[in-house]
Amino acid sequence: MKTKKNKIDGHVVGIIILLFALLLFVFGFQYIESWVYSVWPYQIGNVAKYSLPKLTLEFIKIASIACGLSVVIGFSLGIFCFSSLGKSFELVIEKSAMIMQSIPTMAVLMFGLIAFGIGIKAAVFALIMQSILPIVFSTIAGLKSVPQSYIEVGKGLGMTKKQILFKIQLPLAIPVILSGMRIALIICISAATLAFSTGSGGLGLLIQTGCSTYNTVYIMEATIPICLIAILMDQLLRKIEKDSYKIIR
Amino acid sequence: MIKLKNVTKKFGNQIAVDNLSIELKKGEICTFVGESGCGKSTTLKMINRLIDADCGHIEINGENICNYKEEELRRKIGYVVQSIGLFPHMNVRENISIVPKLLNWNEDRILERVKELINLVGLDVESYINKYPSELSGGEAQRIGVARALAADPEIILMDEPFGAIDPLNRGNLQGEFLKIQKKLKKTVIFVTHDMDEAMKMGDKIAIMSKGKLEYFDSPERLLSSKNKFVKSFLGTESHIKILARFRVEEYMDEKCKDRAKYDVDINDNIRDTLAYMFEYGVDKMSVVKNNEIMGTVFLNDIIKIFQEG
Repeated sequence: MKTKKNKIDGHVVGIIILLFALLLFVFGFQYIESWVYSVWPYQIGNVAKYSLPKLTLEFIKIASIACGLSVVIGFSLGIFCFSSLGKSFELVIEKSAMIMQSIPTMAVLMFGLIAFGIGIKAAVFALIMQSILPIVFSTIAGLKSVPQSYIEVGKGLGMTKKQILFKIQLPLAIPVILSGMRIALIICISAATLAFSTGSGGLGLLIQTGCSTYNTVYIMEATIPICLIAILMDQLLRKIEKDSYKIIR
Repeated sequence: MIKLKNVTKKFGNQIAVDNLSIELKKGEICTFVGESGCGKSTTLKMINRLIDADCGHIEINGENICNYKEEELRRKIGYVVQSIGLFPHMNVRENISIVPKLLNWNEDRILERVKELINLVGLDVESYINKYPSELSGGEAQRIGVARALAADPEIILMDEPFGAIDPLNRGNLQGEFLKIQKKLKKTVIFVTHDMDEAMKMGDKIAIMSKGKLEYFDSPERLLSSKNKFVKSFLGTESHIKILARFRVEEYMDEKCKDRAKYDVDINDNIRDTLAYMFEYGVDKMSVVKNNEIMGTVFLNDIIKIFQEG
């Protein structure tokens, strides 16, 4: 057992390296900026004033608020489908989540813009619409995947329906629910790039500027942190997922 | 203690349990045995209301079970299923303390009880209390399953093929240990199995079911004299020898004859094993010993007489 504990987990190492690379890039880019432009002669569009750490922070803020809210809402909807009242709503909830997913992100952003006006609210609204499906589905699938025998034993021991749901079904469904959350988070991160169009900033702004001024350096500067954040979050959640499987075999 | 009166259960058009009446006394083990689909598990589940009976009524201590709240009734009845029944996300301590927690015992009392029970089922407290079910062998998991059923000290325990998934050697040990525990605790146990050997070993009473009907309900010893056709065919010829496992050498030895025979048999052995030894060694008498002291002699003729009487 002791040797096992001392062994370094590959996931953890990967996460640390990714985090380090992300921080290094975000805070260190300004120092190599002039050198990059000397190698990469796209001087034409270098007009805007910006701060990479600030944009990254905005980006993370939008993605995490949206993801957090969609986890809370999606998770509660999924559980609601399992209550006696919600059973009849299951199909409606599933289908509407599916419809929301199928609307193009740009269009949802515009809906948000109309509903909430310019700012972060519209972006968050759009991201929730886009990322709620995997969470609702994984919650339902996870709860359904719990073997009937465990539920019957819980019943036989005298648990109420609510106790069975929260003490048996949910803990056993966690690995499946986590994988849904991972997908939702990735969707949130990739879609958060578009949040600039509601005026809430973020790294997408840099990409947009780069596109309209033909400045590839801008685009690269924004894309690299976004990719790093996406991979980092994926690895982090994978690690949590793996640990939760360890207990629930 | 437990009384089933004209209980009937249908699933669709199929009759699972047909007009079943049974009465169990306190402290008895009753084994339900029969081929799969004969309604034995259904009967068991009707007692803790996992399945509700269509007709008839079930009483526990003279009280109709429909008068209890479902959950409260189940908390009063221990429930053991095949080894899959332990929750994989809870360790041994949490698994055992489920029912006491539902009954709102305080933490210290629960921990005390958990330790007591792990000891009772013959495992080491320190090394097992924090293990997860995936780290346990089948036999160990089943012991914990029994401990969990005993946790809140219920008067009645329902066991649904509890040792079904365990290898024969371990199963024998578990059966023996459970009987030992039962001797101490004197619970009323209903034990469902499809293994006739197990049924005869464990049961004070045996209920043999076929297609939802109760074909036989009495002590295993009386099985020999049963005239019921189904029972006879279900038992087969070999079963008569199996029943001998319930008779102890002590009761059938001749105490006057204390000459040393060629071979010994321990006083705590059963007649079935003794018979096997006699055939193995090719003798018709054996000395019965207790701590190397001869207590008497057991004769083949006396064993054959059991059948003539029965």
